[in-house]
Amino acid sequence: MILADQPEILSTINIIRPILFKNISLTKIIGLSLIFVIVILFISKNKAKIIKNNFNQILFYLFLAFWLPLFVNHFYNNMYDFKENIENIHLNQGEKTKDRICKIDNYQNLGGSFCQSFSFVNFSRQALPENSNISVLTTPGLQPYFHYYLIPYYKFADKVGEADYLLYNISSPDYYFIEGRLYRKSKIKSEEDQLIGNYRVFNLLNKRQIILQKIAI
Amino acid sequence: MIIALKIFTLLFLQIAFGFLPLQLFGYFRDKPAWFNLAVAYGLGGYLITIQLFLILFILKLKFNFFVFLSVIALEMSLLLYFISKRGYKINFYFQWPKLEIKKIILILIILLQISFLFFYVLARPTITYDSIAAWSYKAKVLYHQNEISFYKNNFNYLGGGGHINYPWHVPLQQFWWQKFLGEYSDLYVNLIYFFYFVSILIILYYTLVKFIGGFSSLLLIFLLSSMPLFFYHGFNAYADLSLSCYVLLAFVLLLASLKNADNKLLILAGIFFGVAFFVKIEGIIYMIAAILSLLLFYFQIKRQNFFKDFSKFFISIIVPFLPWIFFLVKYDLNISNVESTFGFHPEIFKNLFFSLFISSNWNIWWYIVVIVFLLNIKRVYKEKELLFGWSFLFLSFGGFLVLYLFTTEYQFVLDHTALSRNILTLMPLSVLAVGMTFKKLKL
Repeated sequence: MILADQPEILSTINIIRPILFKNISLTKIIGLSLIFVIVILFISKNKAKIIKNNFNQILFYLFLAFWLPLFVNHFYNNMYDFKENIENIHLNQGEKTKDRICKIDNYQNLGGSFCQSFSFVNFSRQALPENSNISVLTTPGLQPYFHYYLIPYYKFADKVGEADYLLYNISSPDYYFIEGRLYRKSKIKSEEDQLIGNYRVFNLLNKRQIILQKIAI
Repeated sequence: MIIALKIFTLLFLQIAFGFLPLQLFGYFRDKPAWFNLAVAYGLGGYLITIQLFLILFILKLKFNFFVFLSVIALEMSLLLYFISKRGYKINFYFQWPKLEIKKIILILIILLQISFLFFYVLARPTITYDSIAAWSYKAKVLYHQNEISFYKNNFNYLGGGGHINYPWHVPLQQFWWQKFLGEYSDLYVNLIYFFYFVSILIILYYTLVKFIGGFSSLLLIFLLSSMPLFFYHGFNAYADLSLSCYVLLAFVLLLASLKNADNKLLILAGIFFGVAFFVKIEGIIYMIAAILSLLLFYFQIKRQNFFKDFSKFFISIIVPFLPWIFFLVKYDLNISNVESTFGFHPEIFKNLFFSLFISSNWNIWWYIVVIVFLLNIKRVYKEKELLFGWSFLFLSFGGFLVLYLFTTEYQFVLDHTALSRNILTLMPLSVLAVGMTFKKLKL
């Protein structure tokens, strides 16, 4: 994977993966080669002559030469993405967002969960009446996305039990829905799971992503 | 077309708002326009966000676009009046590099990088988890509510989102841009960071050009512009690029104030260090590093009666973030996200080493930094300016190291969530330090 759509591989802003050449980081290979060349220059017989003739200048050119391979990779990525960017530029913002989310899902091998969550957001917007009182039960990694994309169409309940509708993803680690009842999993083994309330399936995108409606007792 | 006009007006307003106060400083009246415009972009951004913070959080008022615009217009008029009354001439001249083939080629490559970035901005909306959870969510809530909820049971209490203790510069700047443009867009908001990227390149170029000349400065700017993670932050709405810009600005002005013995500039440098803390909590590390570097410098030149200057610098650091600290205290919020328990975590070194020397985030930049420092170590020790530059860089890095090594922050190094982002802020500073060390280099 020397040349790839590199920056968009991870859905985080924290790191870009190293460029690997047969499992060895190219940065390491090139960096160590640079050090090696400089050490050779230093121990060479002509050291004095080289230093006299402006060592810093030679150093600068060396840096550039060694910089070049990784820059070529960076440039290639930009060219590759440029083509994609030009193709996408006419899309509306929602389509661009979905495109970016789904591509990252694909690169990261997330099995479609990231991409589908955006579909669930769109599905919920069509299925639920605006200004409904809702709560989102999903994995912590996806929760901010639901909140972000559903503002300002819905009101978010401060507590799950207060919401009229629940956007429920069965991957949610803290809740489970069984026989019309929603439970919060207990964090302490000896305690029973807490019953949140009775709900009915209001609508569903697929077996994993369901909208639940609270049933008044 | 209309949106392009709106963006231009918004940019003009932010830069003009930052540009006018700069005219009160003799230093900027002699500087080329590009440099002043880049500094003004940063200063204007802060002046807008701090006033929004005062209105929304301290006065607890509902935001009104036209009232706020009128306040800015009034302040700009007063500044103009003050400038003309004092007889200051607004100097605005463009200094272009002398055109030689090698310089033209480099400028074209840098412009190509910037063009690539521009198309990313237009085609890739904000979607990264960190951007949305930490900053953009707050901006969007505020965009639709026009006020902050101070009711504890509200889902969006104190702005909502996961980190209500975070500084407010980033969300407020996003909010202001979206309000001005009249639509909430995950694309146009990227432009804020695009312009911070460009500003950093310009500030560095005009600072380095005096040390190493035009061509070598362009070469270093080219290297910086092609560092993958640095480039990536140029179109992803997050705080670290803005932080990098303010820290660089603060340090450049601190350096200039010491070189020119200009106390007014020392105060402005302090203000920018304070702004950095209002952008991101990590700004505190740079504040401490600046204070220590300055003390070291005063000690080195055996300056008498340094207490007065140092006090001015210290006070100017504190003022820009004082309203935010007041807010934290009032609502019983901690500065840190995690409970600070002390320990010793040498396991961070592996990840730190990986991030600096193995991942391709920075190309081979950190190899270059280490080589340049080691080969010039004697000079660095002898020359005051170099010692000051490198000591600030090392003290800043050391600040992060202490944080990682002895506090619960170590976990963010192990899972790589904060490490590279923190290093990103050191990048422009390290480019400056390397450039200063190549002094008198003629290519």
